[in-house]
Amino acid sequence: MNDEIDKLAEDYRRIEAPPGLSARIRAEVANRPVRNRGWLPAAATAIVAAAVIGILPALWQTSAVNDKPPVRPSLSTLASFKVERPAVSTPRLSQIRTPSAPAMPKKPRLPSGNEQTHNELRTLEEKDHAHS
Amino acid sequence: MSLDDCSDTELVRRFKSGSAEAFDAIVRRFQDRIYRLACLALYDEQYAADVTQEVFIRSHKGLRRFQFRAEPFTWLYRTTRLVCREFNRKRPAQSLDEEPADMSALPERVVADYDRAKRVRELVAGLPERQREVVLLRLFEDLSVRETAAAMGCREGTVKALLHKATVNLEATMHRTGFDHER
Repeated sequence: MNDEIDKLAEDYRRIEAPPGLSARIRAEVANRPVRNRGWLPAAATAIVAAAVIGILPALWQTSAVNDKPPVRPSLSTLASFKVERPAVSTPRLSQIRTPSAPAMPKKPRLPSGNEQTHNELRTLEEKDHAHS
Repeated sequence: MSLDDCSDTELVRRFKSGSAEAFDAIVRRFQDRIYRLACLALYDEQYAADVTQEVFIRSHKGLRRFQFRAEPFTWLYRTTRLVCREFNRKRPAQSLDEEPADMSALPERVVADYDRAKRVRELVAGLPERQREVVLLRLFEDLSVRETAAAMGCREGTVKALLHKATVNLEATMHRTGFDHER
């Protein structure tokens, strides 16, 4: 390392704290007692343990119920749930949903071949008459 | 073994187990180093003393939860840096040439320290922050590369690179300003 930097470091290390600083720090620290919070983790553990102890019996009861064989209802029991149809006939759901549309008008009858030719000639005559 | 002969880690261990004397020994051992760091960071003797006091008040609480993952000085250095930043935010900016108003009232030793701190700071102030930090820790505080890296929160390679750049820059500044050690 450079000698000049060594000298600079030496200058730096000769800087010392004021003489009364350590006494000042001691007094300041003594005035601010540290609150002992060492009991906090123990309290948290105790609360968790109490909660677990409280929950365990409930869990045990649930497992006891789960251990029982499943209940199978008899057919007669199921038949009691059968829905009875009402005596009055009710419209079907499809009938309610799609109301009947009005009947379409009748398709007009087309004229036969002779009638059509006659009509066309008459139209042409009318046109000629109009032009004259 | 007396407390002053204990290692830093052992001192903190004893403090954690409830020894008030161990805390006094921690203060005695580290107060000058913390004060110097604060002097260079704040450029004000009074503020530096206040910062040192605040760092030890915080360490009185914080070292009780110390996990020994780093060296105690690394922890103290990080706390010092944090407190210095807080103080710097609170107080108005001070020029390098500005001297304390009651300089004549201060003891000779304090004035000499002030001059020394001023000279060192004038030279170091020109460096970028990370380079300045590496100079303080590695060159001035004589920490190892590993400890410097732990204090700065970076890799050892980064410390070496920063140190090289900082040394070159510092030498250039010293030649330019005509640094005189005996001034």
